[in-house]
Amino acid sequence: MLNDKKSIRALVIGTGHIGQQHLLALRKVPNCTVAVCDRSPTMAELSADRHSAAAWYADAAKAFAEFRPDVAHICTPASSHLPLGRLALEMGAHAIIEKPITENHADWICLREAAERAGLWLIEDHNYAFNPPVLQVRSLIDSGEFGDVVHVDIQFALNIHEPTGVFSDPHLPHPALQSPGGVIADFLPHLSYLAIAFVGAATTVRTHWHKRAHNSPFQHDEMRALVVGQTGTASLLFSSHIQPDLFRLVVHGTRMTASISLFENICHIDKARSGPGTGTALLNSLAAGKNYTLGGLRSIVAKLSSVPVSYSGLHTLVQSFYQSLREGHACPVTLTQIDETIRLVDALIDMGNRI
Amino acid sequence: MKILVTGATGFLGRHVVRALLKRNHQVRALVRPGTAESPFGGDSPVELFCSDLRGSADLLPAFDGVDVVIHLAAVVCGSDDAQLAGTVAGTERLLEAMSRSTTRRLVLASTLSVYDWSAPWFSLTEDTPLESRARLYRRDGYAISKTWQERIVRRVAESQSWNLIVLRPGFIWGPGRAWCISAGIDLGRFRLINGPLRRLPLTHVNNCAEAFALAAEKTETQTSTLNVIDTEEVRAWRFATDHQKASREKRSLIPVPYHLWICITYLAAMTGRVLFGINCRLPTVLNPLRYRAMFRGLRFPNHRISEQLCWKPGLDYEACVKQSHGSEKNCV
Repeated sequence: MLNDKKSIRALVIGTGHIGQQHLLALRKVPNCTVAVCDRSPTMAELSADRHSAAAWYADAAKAFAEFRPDVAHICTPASSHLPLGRLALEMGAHAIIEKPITENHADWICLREAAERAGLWLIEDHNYAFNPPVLQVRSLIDSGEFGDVVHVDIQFALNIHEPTGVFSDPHLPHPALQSPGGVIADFLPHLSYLAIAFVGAATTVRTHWHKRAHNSPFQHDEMRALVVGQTGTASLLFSSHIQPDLFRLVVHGTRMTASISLFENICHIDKARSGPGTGTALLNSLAAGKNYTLGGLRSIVAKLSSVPVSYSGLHTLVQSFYQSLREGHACPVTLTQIDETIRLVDALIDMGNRI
Repeated sequence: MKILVTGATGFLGRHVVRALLKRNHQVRALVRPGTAESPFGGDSPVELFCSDLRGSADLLPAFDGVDVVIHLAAVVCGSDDAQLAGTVAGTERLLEAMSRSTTRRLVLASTLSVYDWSAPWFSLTEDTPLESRARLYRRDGYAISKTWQERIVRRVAESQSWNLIVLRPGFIWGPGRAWCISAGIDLGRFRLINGPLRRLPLTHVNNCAEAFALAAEKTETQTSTLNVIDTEEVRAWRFATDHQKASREKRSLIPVPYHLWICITYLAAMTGRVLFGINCRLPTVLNPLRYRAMFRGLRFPNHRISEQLCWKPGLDYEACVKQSHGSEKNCV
């Protein structure tokens, strides 16, 4: 636990798109001094200037030695997470690491042991688990109002074939293309931690991977999975062909069903009601109309504000992390949750076409 | 002279390469790996050097025997972060390699977007101040990346005592890009002509390419910054109507007074600030800083480039309209 009045020192390593989101999130953390580090000195200086950071570095070792951060945000490609995570922990800094936290389970064990030895916090960015509608549904589950979770559907559709997109740029191959599972594996942590959050750790996994666009540079561009968890089941879908792009989570409970659009943060809950079935359907439809209208308006408002809608969970997670650190509360993402997520991701990749 | 051109296959780059060849220079084009074997024609004498400025391959061999570099490469589409990483980090890598080479002369393509468009009363010139730090990050990714690109180029050029010419072209138009976004905004079948009577800071791609060729040949200047804007004054309404005629588009043109709309943007910005805080993000049409940089009516004198490079646009406006709407073959 840190002294409440002490200024926390945060170092953000990597100033790409996600690094910028971490820097934006840190603006809302009270009494926090920020430094930026990037392999490109200009990008580090630019980001420091843009976010009024106290210092910038082009060398991570120098940044840790000179700035002495309390927390390191590691927002670089996955291949650098292990060395940078270890460095952070060795230098006495808690670490928030972007997903996937490591490239494989063995690396994760190394990092986990380093964190446990140092007595420091280590978390993977499980941002969508902190989006407001997800927190709302989890609170309904905790209160018992939702009933038991029977099944979750998680659908992620993103056109990774877009010629101008980061995944299809032939001139600058995305680092994820080299990893087992390819580009899809880059998104699997999101699908996995959400599934685990609602149905517990996976006990059985069946998957189907295939390639629909035969002329694409990807090994696979579609994935389906059925996961049996400790308390329920989950179906996971990744598609690069379904349009429009979406990230949808449907949680089916014994009293309610919640449909959440994670890109827009819109949530609709169908409730089991007493009375005739037609009345239930009508009331749920009216409620859906109201929820989608209000959700749409909220989405416009959020687009105008400084926090991008799909990263609202990251902002909540970062604030919650720092608040817990100051107040001595439990870490918002536990090592067990990360461990279960990595195990599920590995199982999804290793399983191949067995369904 | 042997000239290395980055961004050589881009809209301006192709014309700059042609202009340089016409002036009997040797051209080495830095192109991305996987670019068609002969992007400049089968019998073109252009030497290709395949590399990506955003990658990690050493760029030093690209400078072998090179007298001047014309740096046109920039990422102009995609997210703000992609533009920053592509343009700024790419330029950083180019400068790092150049500083290890014997090449000492650089011509950089910048933009009028780097200026503080609220500063001048009547004319935007090379003496107009650049956008302040406080407001720069409320502009778009293009303005931020080009400002930082210029900044790092100047720093390195100064520390290495290079001969540097920064050219800041206005809106470049020509075959394949006949419409100028600064003239108006498309809204379905309508086209809103913002400030119909204001002068447009236009430069036709052929005229602009000629300016780059002249700058590459200029050996005596240490550091110079020049705006590239064609001499003939063209008003937004005239440009829009000429474009309609030449392209046979059937959009309804709607004049929108600049001062009326800028008041609306201020109102929107104030409302946004009250409701969503200082970091409220508005689209360009409702963001006063971005709207002004896009549509403010000013004079755009080109005396300095005329004096320093003896540049005179080779094509007048009428010829530019004809060529822009004709085939690519007829444009040089």
